[in-house]
Amino acid sequence: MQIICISRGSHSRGKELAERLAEKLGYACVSREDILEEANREGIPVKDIQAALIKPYSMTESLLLAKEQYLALVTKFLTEQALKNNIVYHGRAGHLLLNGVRHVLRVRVITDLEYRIQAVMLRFNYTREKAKEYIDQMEEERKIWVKNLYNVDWELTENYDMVINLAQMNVENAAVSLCSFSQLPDFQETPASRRVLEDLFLASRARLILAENEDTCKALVKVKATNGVVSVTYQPFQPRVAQYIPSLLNHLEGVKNVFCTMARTNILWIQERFDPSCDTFQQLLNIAEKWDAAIELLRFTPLEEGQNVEIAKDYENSAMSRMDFSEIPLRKEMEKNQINENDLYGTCLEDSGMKETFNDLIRMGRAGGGRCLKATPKQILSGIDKGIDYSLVVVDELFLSKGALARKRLCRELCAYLTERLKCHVVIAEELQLQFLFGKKQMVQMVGYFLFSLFLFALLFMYQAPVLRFMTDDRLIINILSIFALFLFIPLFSFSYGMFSRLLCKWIRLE
Amino acid sequence: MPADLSQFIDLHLLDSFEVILLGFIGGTLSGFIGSGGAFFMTPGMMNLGVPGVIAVASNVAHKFGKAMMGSKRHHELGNVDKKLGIFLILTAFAGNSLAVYINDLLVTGHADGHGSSGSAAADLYISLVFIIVLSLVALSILRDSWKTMKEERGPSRTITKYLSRLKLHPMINFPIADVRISLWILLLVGLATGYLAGTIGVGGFIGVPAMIYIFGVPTTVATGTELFLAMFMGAFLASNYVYLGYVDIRLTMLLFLGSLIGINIGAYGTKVVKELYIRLVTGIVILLCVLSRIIAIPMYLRQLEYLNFNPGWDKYLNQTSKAMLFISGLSGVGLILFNVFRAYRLRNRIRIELETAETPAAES
Repeated sequence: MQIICISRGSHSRGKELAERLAEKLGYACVSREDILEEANREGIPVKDIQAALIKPYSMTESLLLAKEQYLALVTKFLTEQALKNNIVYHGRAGHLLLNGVRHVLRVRVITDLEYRIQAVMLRFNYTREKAKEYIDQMEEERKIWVKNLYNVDWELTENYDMVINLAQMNVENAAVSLCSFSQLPDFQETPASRRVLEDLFLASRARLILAENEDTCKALVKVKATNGVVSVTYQPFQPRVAQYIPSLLNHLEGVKNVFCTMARTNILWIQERFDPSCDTFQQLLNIAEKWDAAIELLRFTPLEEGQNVEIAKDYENSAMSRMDFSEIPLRKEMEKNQINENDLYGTCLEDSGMKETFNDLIRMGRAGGGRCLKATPKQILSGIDKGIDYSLVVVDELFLSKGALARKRLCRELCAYLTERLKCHVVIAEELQLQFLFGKKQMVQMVGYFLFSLFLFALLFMYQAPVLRFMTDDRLIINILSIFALFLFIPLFSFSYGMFSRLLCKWIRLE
Repeated sequence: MPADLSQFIDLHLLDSFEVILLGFIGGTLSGFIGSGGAFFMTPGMMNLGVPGVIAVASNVAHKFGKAMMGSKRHHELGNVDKKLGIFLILTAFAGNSLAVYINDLLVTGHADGHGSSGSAAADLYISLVFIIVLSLVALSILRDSWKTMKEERGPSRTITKYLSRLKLHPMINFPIADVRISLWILLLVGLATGYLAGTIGVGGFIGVPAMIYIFGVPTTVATGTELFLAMFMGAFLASNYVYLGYVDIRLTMLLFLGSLIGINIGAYGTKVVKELYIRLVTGIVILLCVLSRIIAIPMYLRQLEYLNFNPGWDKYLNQTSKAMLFISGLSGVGLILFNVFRAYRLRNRIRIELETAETPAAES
């Protein structure tokens, strides 16, 4: 089944194009309005959610829950349609909901401002200025909506496979070009991409069940499904929900297993190969326990630079370059090696130590799901859920075909790339101990800070009478000296004792 | 004129422990709320017999070090709008100077006024400012919590919207906080924050809400920027008070001992307690602190000869005020500690259970 998502602005003729394209291809045409109708039937306050997402500081806990329910409903609606039929969806950012589904064709439609102004003037009988103001406001609101809902920039072209400007092309021709573009093998469903779609469908149904049940409806939970295994993460201040979740979800069609993890946040661990007996695994477990975090695994196999350059060159300056950059190398390699994509997905867990690691995480109550991705380093974002605020991303054991030094450099480059785009803490595994854990070095530091604080403290209290006399002396020079003494003493003591208390709390895991 | 050495209290072991406890309670509340703590420590020291101005001065020196550590952490997280902080500092220093001048005048100019106690006038003045300001803060926090419970909405934007419509030029852009504020409003808020920080040592209770409700600054940026401001105000005020000889460095050190541990526990508490309860606890604890100060007021009025009753009653008034303060602080901190240790124990129990459990058939 094929999925074409058309992202449109206000009065940009996206709807017209989507309907024409659906007609030409014989596909079902699904619009945002259909989803809104469905949401209204379910009693979800979409307008309130929209207002809360656009206006700062107006989001409340009940609206946050409604937002999660809305997202689940939209995902369920879209995935259900996409599993049954070929669809053309037109709305704001449907493609972002289907994150990780490789065969989605993501199209952005734009047109010239003059046409849009005229359309608004005609429709609402507005003056030119008012029409322009209306369009600006709508664009701004949509931008904020997408940013707050999916954490991505709506206008960024790298989020689309094709951008169509209807200022230079009529709708009919645009539909014809999209018809042929959509026939490319890259946008055809594969067993692996269908599996991801089914997982999204399963996760969204599970989330909706939890939202509709009276015992779990107020729980702030995240639901993920991987190959039929449903993982639910819940907040530490709502521990009771864990007892209801398995019984509610176990009987859901397509569920193989359900596990719950108490988590306030998520840690993403990216490796090419996983090993549950390695030091990084133990360190991450310690951090996850301290932070009440779930650990999500991403098995990332970076593609060769040579392939990357070759493809980039082939499609240089074309609207297709972004898409081909990621997709074709994978397919070429698979075709060359005669690998079935389903096999690749199935063996992904088996061969990489991911299954053992995943099982250990379930046993420790820290599993946050997992996925596999084979792409160029710059395409790594397509395997990361942008809707999740990760507290920490750990990069380790990547670029295994390279030498040690090159591996280190490439890992650091990837860290910088991810930090810039995910806006969170991204580290390579060897920095974990130093930054987040308590080891021998930290113990020595803690003792050192304690002894220094003790020394300053003893010094003051042993000579408290002379110190007070010095500080209350009415001679100008002494007054000035006492200011200097205070400026030296207070920062020294607060720093050394502050560091001691911080390390102490880290040591007893009260952090 | 530098202070008299006799104004500093004799610190016995029990007093020292009480000051450490004050620091611990103040620090825990401060870590839990995000700002403040002085609202508990200043009156607590006054109840121990420390003159008001010395309590404020010692607390301000303590705040300088504490804000330095907090500001460093917030700076690393990108929560400090330095430009906003610098604009606020401009008038905050003027507010600080005004506060120090009034406090010093009340202590040194007592001979011409009522009573014989050198610090009674300053104590009364500090207590009155404390009661007025903190009553307003506590009531608005409780009102906010009540509304959140009933209507489930975020902080009110009414004042922000009204002021943005007024457009009192010149308007200044602050890119990190992502707001546009009139210079005049900025200077006014800086002055009020500086004055209160210098008078009662709790500028943050005005600075943070003003940044959120008046400027429309995000909460995390407001807290980070206030700490940045508090670091400079603390340094400026501490140097002023040290110059006048009012800082009791021993009290400052003892406060550090408790507060820097308490801050970490309080911050951990925010992870395991719901935000609504955090606000409720804060409002109630502050209100009880205000009540404790109200109980001490007749004592200062008698010392200044505005009231006439048996001086022997001072002891009972002071003890009651002290008990009320400790009850409020200890119950607030007790609630936080209860939740912290419950979560801590639960986490450890889960870990042990998981480590000893059999591997389930987590088939995929």
